[in-house]
Amino acid sequence: MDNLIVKAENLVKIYQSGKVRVKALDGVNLIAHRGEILGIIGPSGSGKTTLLNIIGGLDKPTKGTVFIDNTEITKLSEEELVKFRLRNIGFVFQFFNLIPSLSVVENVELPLALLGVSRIERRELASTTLRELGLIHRANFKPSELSGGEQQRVAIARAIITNPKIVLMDEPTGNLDSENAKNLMKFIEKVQEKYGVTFIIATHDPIVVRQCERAYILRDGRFIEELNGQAAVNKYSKL
Amino acid sequence: MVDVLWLLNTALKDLFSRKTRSILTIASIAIGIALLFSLISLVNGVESRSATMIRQLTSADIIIRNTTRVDTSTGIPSPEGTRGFIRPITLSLINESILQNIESIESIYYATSLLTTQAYVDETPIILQGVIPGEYELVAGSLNIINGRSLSCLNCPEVVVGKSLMERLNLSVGGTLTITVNNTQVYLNVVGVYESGVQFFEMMNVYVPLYFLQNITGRVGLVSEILIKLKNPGDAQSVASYIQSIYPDLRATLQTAQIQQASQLISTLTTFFLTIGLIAIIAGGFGVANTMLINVFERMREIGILRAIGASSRTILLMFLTEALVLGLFGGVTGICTGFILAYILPNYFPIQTASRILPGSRAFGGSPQITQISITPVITWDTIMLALIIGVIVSLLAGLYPAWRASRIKPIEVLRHG
Ligand SMILES: Nc1ncnc2c1ncn2[C@@H]1O[C@H](COP(=O)(O)OP(=O)(O)OP(=O)(O)O)[C@@H](O)[C@H]1O
Ligand SMILES: [Mg+2]
Repeated sequence: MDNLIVKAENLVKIYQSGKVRVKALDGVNLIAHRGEILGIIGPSGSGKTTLLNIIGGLDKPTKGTVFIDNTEITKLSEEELVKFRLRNIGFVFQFFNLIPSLSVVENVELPLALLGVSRIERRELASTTLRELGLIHRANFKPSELSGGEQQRVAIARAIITNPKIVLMDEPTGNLDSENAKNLMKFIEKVQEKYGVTFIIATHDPIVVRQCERAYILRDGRFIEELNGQAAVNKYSKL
Repeated sequence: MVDVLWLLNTALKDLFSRKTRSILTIASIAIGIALLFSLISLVNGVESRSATMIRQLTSADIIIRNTTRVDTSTGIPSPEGTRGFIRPITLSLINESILQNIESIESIYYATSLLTTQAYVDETPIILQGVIPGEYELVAGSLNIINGRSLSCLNCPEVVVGKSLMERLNLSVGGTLTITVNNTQVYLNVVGVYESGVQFFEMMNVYVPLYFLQNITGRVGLVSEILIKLKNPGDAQSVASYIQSIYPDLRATLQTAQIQQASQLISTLTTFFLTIGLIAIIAGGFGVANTMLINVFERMREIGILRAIGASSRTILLMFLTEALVLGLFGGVTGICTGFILAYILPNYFPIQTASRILPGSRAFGGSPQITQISITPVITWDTIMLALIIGVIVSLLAGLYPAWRASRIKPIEVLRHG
């Protein structure tokens, strides 16, 4: 799997609540290469979040397998998954990523604290990362004192602090205006170049899609096609 | 694994970000702890005081009294215009001649008689203890004379006064103590000063020769109590029954019984106060549980994020238990400080009249139940402080258990799905 970092095969996810059965994913395959920005796009309800959650080990598929860098995470127990996520996967959600009572630097340190890294080391690493990402002037701010765009950048800083194999983002620009969305994408590209992080982004924001090297198009839980970012925008800009 | 400092830091920051709620929760624990702490300290105060008294007063094994009630005119009414702190003596006296009969009982080591009478120094009530020098010490134990000497005659105006009263009156050995008995002034030569360690006791009890007291009160041949020391204290019960069978009007009380009664009362008091305190603390515990549950519900997303980025359910559990611990510690410390103040303030609002009830009929109070206002000084010990702190923490942790468990069960996908 040298160049391949994610390989998901034949993912099926069925939600059963009472008599209602929803097939959120219906035989989806996905691969991601080391260091790429991969988009998962599709209309609301197409299964983007579901797919992302399964790749990230937050949810289990009804059927199918997910490999991340040779680890078959669909076989892991709940507790093993927690450990796996901590070391290997970064998450950035649409909003409310940060712990409100903690400062920016403490939020960035969080995964390191959970790993048991010493106080001094984690503060140093978090500060370095914030400095490299141009966020150090916000280190002691509370999340509520930041703009939406800044909050997302801090969340990205936190997601990459453990040097994870992949960073999963669910609608990272969903709460941002287009100006901030563009800036965030520039930021993501910078991070990707600097640290070689692999990003998998679920979105229907054309600003995001445009920057993706490849994009998977989903509809009703099914894989439709794979395009490069610009082509996807041209074809599906009305999503 | 996360370190303790990180847990503490995050807990403190979170509690600080909800100041009002946290303060109210801390207060709800503190109230219970304060109550418990002050009540225990007060009970300790009563206990140590009465323990000192009993130790000082009870080397006699049996005390004999006449339980026949007389109308108060036999006692000594308070002089006009004085505030009567002490109720007049209402028990009949005993004929001194009985002493000889009792002394002949085989197992008795020594017996002596005692007359107690109320008197006044200025307007302050005191109790004159009329004793037979030499005999009294054999039965009841020696007074701790710190200055001068003990009484030396049977019928002379000598007096041994407590240290506290001496200081109050600014008297010294060789001086004259003026007292009022039956509206008559009597002058006594102060020959000695004793110390007992219990201020109230020293203020109240003044020792004079028995016959002198009998003469000035017109009670020749009469005594209030006969004190008995046995060869073998184990015989106390049988000797007491025997005496009572010969003299049905008299009551023979075992000192051990008095001690038992006192300690029983104290343990009842302790249990009672402990129960009140614990109920208050349990109420505080519900306060903690409530606050923590609200916190858990408010922080669902936060917990979801933590779980997503790799916090184990154990870590979440620890985070919330740490908050409970911090609340308990703060509540405990605040409660102890408040309780400390309360322990000193409470007695002023509830003039405690327990002393004579705790020691029913103790000779310290003139041989008959008397209601006396005394203030209780709380006794604060490290044990009590630790107990209060530990109870605060334990109650808080128990209260936090369920909310923490709820928090640890939160599934990230469920709470992160919708805005
Ligand atoms: N826990 C659940 N229980 C039942 N149905 C669910 C659950 N989660 C998702 N679904 C359903 O699965 C389908 C896919 O949902 P998903 O959230 O993955 O879509 P999405 O592409 O992320 O949509 P959006 O763009 O609105 O975020 C939807 O029909 C949704 O209603
Ligand atoms: Mg979604």
